[in-house]
Amino acid sequence: MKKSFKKTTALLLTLIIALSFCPTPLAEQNNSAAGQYEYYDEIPAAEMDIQGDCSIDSGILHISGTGSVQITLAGELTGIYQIGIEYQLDPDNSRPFDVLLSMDQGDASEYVFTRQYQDKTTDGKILQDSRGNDIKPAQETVDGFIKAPFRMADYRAGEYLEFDLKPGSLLKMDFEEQSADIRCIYIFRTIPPVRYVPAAAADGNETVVIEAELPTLKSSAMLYPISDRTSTKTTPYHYAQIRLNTIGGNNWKTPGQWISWNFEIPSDGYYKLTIRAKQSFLRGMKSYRRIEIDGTVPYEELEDYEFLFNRAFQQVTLQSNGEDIYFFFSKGIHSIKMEALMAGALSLDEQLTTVIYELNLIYRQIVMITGIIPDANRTYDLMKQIPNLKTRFESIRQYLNKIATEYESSINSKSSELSFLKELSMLIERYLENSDRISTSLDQYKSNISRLSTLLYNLRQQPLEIDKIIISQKDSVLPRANSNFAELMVHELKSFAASFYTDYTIIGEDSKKQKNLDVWITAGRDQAQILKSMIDDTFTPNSSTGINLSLVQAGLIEATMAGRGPDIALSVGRSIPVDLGIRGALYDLSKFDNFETIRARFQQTAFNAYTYKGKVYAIPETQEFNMMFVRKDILDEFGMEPPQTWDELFQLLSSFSQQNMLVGIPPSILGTLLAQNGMNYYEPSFQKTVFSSNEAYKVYEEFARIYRDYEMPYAYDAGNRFRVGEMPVVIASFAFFNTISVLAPEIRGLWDMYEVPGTVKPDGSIDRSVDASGASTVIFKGCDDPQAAMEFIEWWSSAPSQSRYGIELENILGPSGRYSTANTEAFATLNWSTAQHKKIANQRKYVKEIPEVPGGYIIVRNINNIFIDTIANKNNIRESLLRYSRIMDEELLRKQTELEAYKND
Amino acid sequence: MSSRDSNTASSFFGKIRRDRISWLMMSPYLVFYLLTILIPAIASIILSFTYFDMFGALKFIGIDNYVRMFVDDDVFIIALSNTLVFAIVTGPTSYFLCFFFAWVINDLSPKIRAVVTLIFYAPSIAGTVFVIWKFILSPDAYGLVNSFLMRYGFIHQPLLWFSDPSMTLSLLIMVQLWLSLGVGFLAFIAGLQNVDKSLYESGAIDGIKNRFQELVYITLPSMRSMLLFGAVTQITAAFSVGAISSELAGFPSIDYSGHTLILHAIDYGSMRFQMGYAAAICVMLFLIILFTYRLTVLGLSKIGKQ
Repeated sequence: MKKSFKKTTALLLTLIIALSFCPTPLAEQNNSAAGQYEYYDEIPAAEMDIQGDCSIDSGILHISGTGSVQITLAGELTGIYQIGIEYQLDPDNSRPFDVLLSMDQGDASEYVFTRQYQDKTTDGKILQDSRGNDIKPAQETVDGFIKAPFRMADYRAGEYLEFDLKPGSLLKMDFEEQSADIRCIYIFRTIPPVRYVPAAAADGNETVVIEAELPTLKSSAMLYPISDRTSTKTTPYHYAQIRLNTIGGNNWKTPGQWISWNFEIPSDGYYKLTIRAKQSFLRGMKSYRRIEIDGTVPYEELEDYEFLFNRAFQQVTLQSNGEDIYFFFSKGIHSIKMEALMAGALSLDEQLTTVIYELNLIYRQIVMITGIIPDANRTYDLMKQIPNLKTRFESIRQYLNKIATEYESSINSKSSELSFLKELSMLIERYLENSDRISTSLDQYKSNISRLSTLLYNLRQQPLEIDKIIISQKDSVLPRANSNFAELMVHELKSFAASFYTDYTIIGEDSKKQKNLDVWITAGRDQAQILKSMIDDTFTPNSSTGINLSLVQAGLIEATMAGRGPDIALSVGRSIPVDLGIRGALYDLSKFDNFETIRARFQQTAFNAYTYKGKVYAIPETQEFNMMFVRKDILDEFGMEPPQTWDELFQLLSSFSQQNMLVGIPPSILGTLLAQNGMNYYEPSFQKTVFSSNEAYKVYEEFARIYRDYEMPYAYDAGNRFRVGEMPVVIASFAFFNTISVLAPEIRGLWDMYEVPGTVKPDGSIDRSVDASGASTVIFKGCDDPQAAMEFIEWWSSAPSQSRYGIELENILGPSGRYSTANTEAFATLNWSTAQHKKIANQRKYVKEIPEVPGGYIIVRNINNIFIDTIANKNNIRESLLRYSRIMDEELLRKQTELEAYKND
Repeated sequence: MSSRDSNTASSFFGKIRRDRISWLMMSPYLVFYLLTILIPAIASIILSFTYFDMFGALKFIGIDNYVRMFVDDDVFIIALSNTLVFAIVTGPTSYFLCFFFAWVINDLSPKIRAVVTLIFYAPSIAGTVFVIWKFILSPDAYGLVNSFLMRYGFIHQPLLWFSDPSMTLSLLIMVQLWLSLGVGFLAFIAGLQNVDKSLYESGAIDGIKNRFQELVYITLPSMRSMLLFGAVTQITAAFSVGAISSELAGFPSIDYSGHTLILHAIDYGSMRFQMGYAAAICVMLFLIILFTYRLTVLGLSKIGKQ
């Protein structure tokens, strides 16, 4: 019995070839964690061509920058193989390892190899604070080599990629700005797992329980323990205190994320696996998990095991055809690994992507004829004007019906999305009957596309929350999955009573030190908690000063006025430092010894907004500036390249405006245009604005052309228009990149980010200057120990602190919450891909921040006034500029005289 | 002389002593009234004669702030005229609307009356619900009204609504009217409910011919105190309009087209760090409201008198 079991599981990998950079890897690999390889063959020394910042040293390939490795495979390899690498990443940043792999000089594809994380705990326990609440353990990367095969780029399916190898095949790996080591390249072949054959399980009543919140390893730092209070059966449980008792949930929804647990089996025997899990996050959807035991997927059923939607926790015993699966475990340590993947929804995903693309394409073709708001009184006859529209609609309708049928079978409860799919198919049927309906219901058509995109987005999510895994024998009794009514009542009553004496607002005070600094942070609770743990870990141990951290929402100025303000305030808005500084409420930070050290950490103009008359009132925290986002697929249809200069952008504008296509340029671009012509709002004396000058008039005239001549919108929802493609070029903050990559999966790979268009200088170079925005840190005059406060700022603005803060914040908020630190070194360690980071870093070189001056409030409002006056009401530009610049100049002068007259210090 | 003084004083304290139970019962409100209304009000009158930037010391500058208001601040004049237009249009209009709807609703059966009252009062309960107008009148071509007008060919370019200086004030007045069935409306309903029914019977005997005469000679005089209460709330509401404008038209609005006195005070107090001048604006607003209030009381006292 035992023998037959082994036969089905062990021979998954029949052939492994270690293409070794490593001299004697074999013995070591047999003991490696994966332990799945049956035997190895070492191939004869292959030809290798190493270029760029790569080198081989004692059997390890070091990559420290940009370079490539090309390997010519030796003779005996012929047929379909899989390829993997054994790699180790630079522990100093959080970025994954990007490899561009190409075979036989074909197109290269990008593959991402992740890090491994573990909880930072002492003896495997979650710590508690003085109030008895669990503290979220920090997430740390695990050093050492990791073995992983090449997989589909976004891990959508479980299978490994297959390569057709011939004698002399060329295997080329390119690295761009990477920092990693590779020890081995594996070339191997797997046999797919077989279906489960029922085994006569022997009796026994051993039970092993794994608390899922304490895994051994995980692929992402977002997989930290979380707290569940929906059931009294979730372990550990407390009615009032916070218990981190489950893992996953909405943090474990991206395909490719995995968690693994080690466990100890007390005696040889057959065991079944029961997972107490909950998928209450996506109504009606299934979540898929690939389950590996001891490094391999033992049965076909576990390749994509499905967890059904249910509001409550379920105890899912792994089954095959309705029968429990029994696994043989020998006495000792074993491991189980669960990985999110979307295998079951893969074909639905592909079909939806195709349909959305086609629907969007048709939408754009319609808009090119009718404009985004078609005239209801006009007949457009779209069926004649757009080639093959009838047959294309017909095939979309059939496709939609097919998707609806497939979707119906893939969900496990009634879903409103199903009726919506049918509705959409009926809408298209009506279009086929009468094409005049297309232009009258275009907005309905468009909102249906975005609902379809939401469906696709949801389909790609695989959320699952796990409380525990129970490994038990045939006779052991499983605990009940959920609380009964009486237990729930007691739970609710007790926690209601507890809510009267539990304080949920305190972040942290430090009573051990002699002197303390009051620090206020204007942000969310997550931000404050990260900062608190950073202060405890790396600031207070090395300093004689303690920190009292408070989370505030507003009232900084009022509290300071009342003498109850903080010593240091973080995340302070743009105009506040200069406004408070000139009134004597802040320290001039440039007077401190360590100021020059701090200044060097930032882009050279980052202090502009916080400096007035040579005094520096704040240290930058964040810095955000614009980039250009381009739908490459649509520009290709027009036969155009992403514009590099404003002249090119104007050419694009003129051909776009003829086709009813839009470009998203925010009115704030005026600052950028002024900067590219060597100006900002103010004359160098700061006593006058530039708007009455002839140079500014020329810039403004060009700026006004965008909206007056090309009729581009100035109030718009960039995300949605970029997504459907009616606005294929958008200028927006670089944070837009994360918004789109998270929310618009259907256009993945069809768009890219570029530097903003520049102005060609007489010497032929392109000036890409942009302005920027951001927040900062200040020290108040009420602080008794400014030297200590400045030391805190030196710590806070340093690369390690900013980097850790940014990484931990992204761990909690996900990519859309990526921190835009102003510290250039820390920015490089955040999760930007190499290519994107390079562009942002390049754009940052051109940042020219606009100074803040007393009376600056008058500028923003009057620029708005000029804008409405010249662009909406189409009044004369020169007159308007002159009229409003007089108002601005008067106010600037008045403010400065006033400050002179009533000087405080 | 001195004995008489101490006599009055002792009789003043004597009265307090005598009525101490009443004073005790009033004290929670009195303390809050002193701390949150009376003292700040007096403080802002004092502030209005100073230059104060919130960080430095107070500097007395006499009546400079008031002089500047009328001599050297164009925006103040815009804000003043906007506020007056606003108050003159919305104050009386909404006052009469409130009364008219209350009068109509009062004739419905109690159950239907409760439902209809809720419907009319709902916009006021819902707080900042007026921001839906920002959505309805979005300047985007996809804005609800814009896309409708464009589809049927009324306009070819999206209208800017709140950002168009020529439209801002009228639109804000419209929104304010939509919101204005507030507390006054409820007070009127309560007032109408409390009119003694027997008065109508005796009125009918005394020769009242129609509902209008009934209204003028019986209903209105019987609910004079509710009318006064409604007037006060409507006047204060009409003069202190600010949040609607800053939410819908932006702060400050284009060319200050929706700027009101309250917003002008906020502008100087929180953005320009000139608390003294902001206080002077508020004092001016207070004087205007006081004057209008006296005028209204005078008008209301005429009701029912020949």
